[in-house]
Amino acid sequence: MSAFDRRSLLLGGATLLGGGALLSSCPKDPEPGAPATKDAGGGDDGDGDGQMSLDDVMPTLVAVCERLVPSDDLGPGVKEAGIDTYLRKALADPRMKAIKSMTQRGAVWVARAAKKEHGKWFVELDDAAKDALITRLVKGEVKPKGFTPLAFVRVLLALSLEAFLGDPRHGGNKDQVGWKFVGGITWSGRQG
Amino acid sequence: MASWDVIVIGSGAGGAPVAERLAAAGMNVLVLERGKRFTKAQFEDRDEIEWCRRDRFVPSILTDPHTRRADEAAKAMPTTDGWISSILGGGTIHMSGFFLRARPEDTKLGSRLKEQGTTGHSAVDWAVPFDDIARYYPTVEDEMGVSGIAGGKLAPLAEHPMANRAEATAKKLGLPIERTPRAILTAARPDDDRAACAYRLVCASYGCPNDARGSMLVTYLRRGEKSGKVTVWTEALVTKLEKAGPDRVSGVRVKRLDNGGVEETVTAGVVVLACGAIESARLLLLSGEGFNPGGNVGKNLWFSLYVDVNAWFPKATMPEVMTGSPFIHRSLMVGGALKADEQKTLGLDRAGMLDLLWQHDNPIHRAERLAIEGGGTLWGRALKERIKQHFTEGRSMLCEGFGESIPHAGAYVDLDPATKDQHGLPVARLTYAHHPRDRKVAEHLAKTGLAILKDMGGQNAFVRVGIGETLILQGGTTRFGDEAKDSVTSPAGLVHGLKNLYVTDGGVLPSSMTAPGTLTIVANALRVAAGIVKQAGAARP
Repeated sequence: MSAFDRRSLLLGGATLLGGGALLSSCPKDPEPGAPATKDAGGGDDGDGDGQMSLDDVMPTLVAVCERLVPSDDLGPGVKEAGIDTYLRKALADPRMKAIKSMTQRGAVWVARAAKKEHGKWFVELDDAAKDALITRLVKGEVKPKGFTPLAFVRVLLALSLEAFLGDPRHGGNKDQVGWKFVGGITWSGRQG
Repeated sequence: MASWDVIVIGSGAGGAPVAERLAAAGMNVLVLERGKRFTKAQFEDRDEIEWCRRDRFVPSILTDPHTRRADEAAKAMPTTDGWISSILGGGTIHMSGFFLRARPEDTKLGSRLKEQGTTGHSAVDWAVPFDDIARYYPTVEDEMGVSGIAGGKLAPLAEHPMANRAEATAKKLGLPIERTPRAILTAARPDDDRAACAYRLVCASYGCPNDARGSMLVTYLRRGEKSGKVTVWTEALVTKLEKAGPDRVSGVRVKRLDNGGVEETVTAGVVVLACGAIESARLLLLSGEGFNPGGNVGKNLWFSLYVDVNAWFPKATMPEVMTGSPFIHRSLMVGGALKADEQKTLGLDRAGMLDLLWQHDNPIHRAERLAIEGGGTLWGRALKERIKQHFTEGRSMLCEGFGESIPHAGAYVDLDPATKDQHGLPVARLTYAHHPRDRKVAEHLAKTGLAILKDMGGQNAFVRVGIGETLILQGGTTRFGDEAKDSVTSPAGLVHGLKNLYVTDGGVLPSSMTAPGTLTIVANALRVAAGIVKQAGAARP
C-alpha cells in the first residue's frame, strides 16, 4: 500500500510500509544517489562479505525492534509479543521480499557499526548504547550506503508495531499482549 | 470461442449495475473481473495485517504498479496510487459508503469557471443534463439501501453522542449540517439475504460480514447472478479490446489468471468498459488504433480534492467519546455553497463539504500515525507512552474535506514507456498536479475544519493533510461530451466513433463534484444501461 497522506483506498491502511519502503531496497531501483549494490548484505564499504542470511541478521533485527518497542515500566514490548517469530514469518512472505532485503542490509550495517565503534556487536551493547546508535540512524547522522537509515528504522518500527498489535495468527502479539496494553480490546473479528 | 450478448469489464460501481440491468432485459451478460471473489465468511475477518497492509485489495507495487509524477520533467515512480480495488465488487466492497447526491452546479464547472475568470483549466459543462442522471438517484438509493436520507425509507444509523455536539457547533458557526447518507442497511432485507448493520468496531477498509453495506457484490451482482443471465469470471484480466470493423468492437482478449494465464478471445455484441478512470483509460490505450478518439483518452484526469484535519477529544472532559456508535455521521456544507462574503474574500463560488468521523480504529495504523505525527519519528518508551495514552485516554476525530478539483493540461493518464506489469503490458502513468484554484478550496476547507473541531472541544487540532487527493474517487479520463475534439464518449456512453463500446465508470464524469461521487457513478451507469436496452429494443425486428 502507498503512504496514506490523503484519504486513500484504505482509511486504516499502512503508513510506514508504503510503496516507497516496499521498493526502496530493490537492487534494480536504488535510492536516488545510492550506488547499486551487488547483494543484500554488501554495499561498497570495502569489507563486504557477501550475502548474509536472515538467520545471520535476525539477532540484530530483533535487538533493534526490542529497543523500538521496549519492555519497560509501562508494560511488555515486542519481546513478550514474540518479535523473533513474527519477523521470521513476516519476512518469509514473498510480498515482503524488498523489505527483507532492506532490513538485512540495514542490520549488517548496524552490527558492523557497533563493532567498529564499541568493539562489540550491536546485540551485546547496553540499552543506552543501542539507543544512541538508533538515534543517529533516525537523525540521519550516519550515511550508510545502499539504504536510507531513517527508512530502515521506520520499516522496523512498522514491523514491530505489527508484531505488537497485529492479529496473533501471524506469530506476534502473543497472548494478545499488545491488545491488552492498549485497553484489552480483541480487534480480530474472527475472535470477537 | 465463447460469445455473449454483452461483456462488462469491471465489477464495481460502474459495471455491476449495467450487468444487472442488461440481464434483466434478457441479455446474456459476462462480467470480467481481474480480482478474486471473497465470501461473507471471509469478511468476518478483521486481520489488519492481511486486509489492510498486504495488497489484499490492490495489486502489488512489485508486480502491477502504476507510476506517478508531478509533472513531465519529473521521473515517474512506481506507486499503488490510482488502483481502486481489484476484487469482485470493486471499491464498493470496503467503501465508507458516503452516498451524497451531486448538485446541478457540479455539472456546470466550465461555465462557472468562465464566469469567475479562472484560467488554465480544461473543465467543461457536462454534456449530459444533470436531471438525466439525478432521476436515477432514488432508484439507486432504494436498490442499494441507503440509510439516513431525510424522509427516506431506511432509518438512519445509530449515531455517536458527539453528533449532538457537531450540531451545536454547526449552528454556532452558521454552517449547514446534515446526516450523512450511507449505503448501509439499518433494517434487514431477507429477499436479498442482507442483514442490518451490526456496528462492528471497524467498518471501512474491510468487507461487510453482514452484507449490510450495499456493495455491488450483495446488490446488483447478486441479483444479476440470481437471474441466471449474469456469468462472472473472476481473475480474468482483459488485455485488449478487439475490433470487428472500423466502428465496432468484436470482443476482448482475456487472460485467465486462475487458469495459468491462458489467453482467449471472447466475443460479444456489446462491450461495456468499467475498470475505473485509470484502468479503463489504460485498456483503451493498450488496444491501439481506433480506441483513442481525438487523442483525448486519459486527459482531464481528476481526483476528488482531499483535506484532513484532526483533533484530540479526551475522555477526562468528554467521557462519552469512548462509547457509542462508531458513526458520528454528520456532513457539513454539503453542496459546497459559500456565503456571499466568503465568495468575495476567497474568489470562489463554491468549495466542498466536510464530514466528521473517528480516526480509523485499526490499531497498527493508529500506532504508526502516532509514531510519525508531526514529521518526526517517535520510538521507544516515548512511543509506548503515547500509544497507551492515545488508546485509553480519548479519541482522535477527523474532519475530512471533499472538494472540487479542476481538470487541466497537467493532469492525465498515459502508458508508461518504461514500466511494464508482470504480464508485460505497459502500466498506467499518472501525471498529476493541482490547479491553483484547488489550493484556495483546500485552504478554506482546512480552516473551516479546524474551527469546527476546536469549537466541538477538540484539543491539539492540526491540519494533517492540507491538500491531497482521494485517489479512489477518480474520473475525467473518458469524459462524455458532444464531440470527439474535447471528449472520449458520447452522452449515451459510447466511445466516439464506435457503435457498441460503452464506458460507465467514473472516467466519463467530466468533473469531480463537491461530494464523493460513487452514487453518481451508479446512477449514470443505470442511465447508460437504460439507453442500451432501448437501443437493443429498437434494433429488434
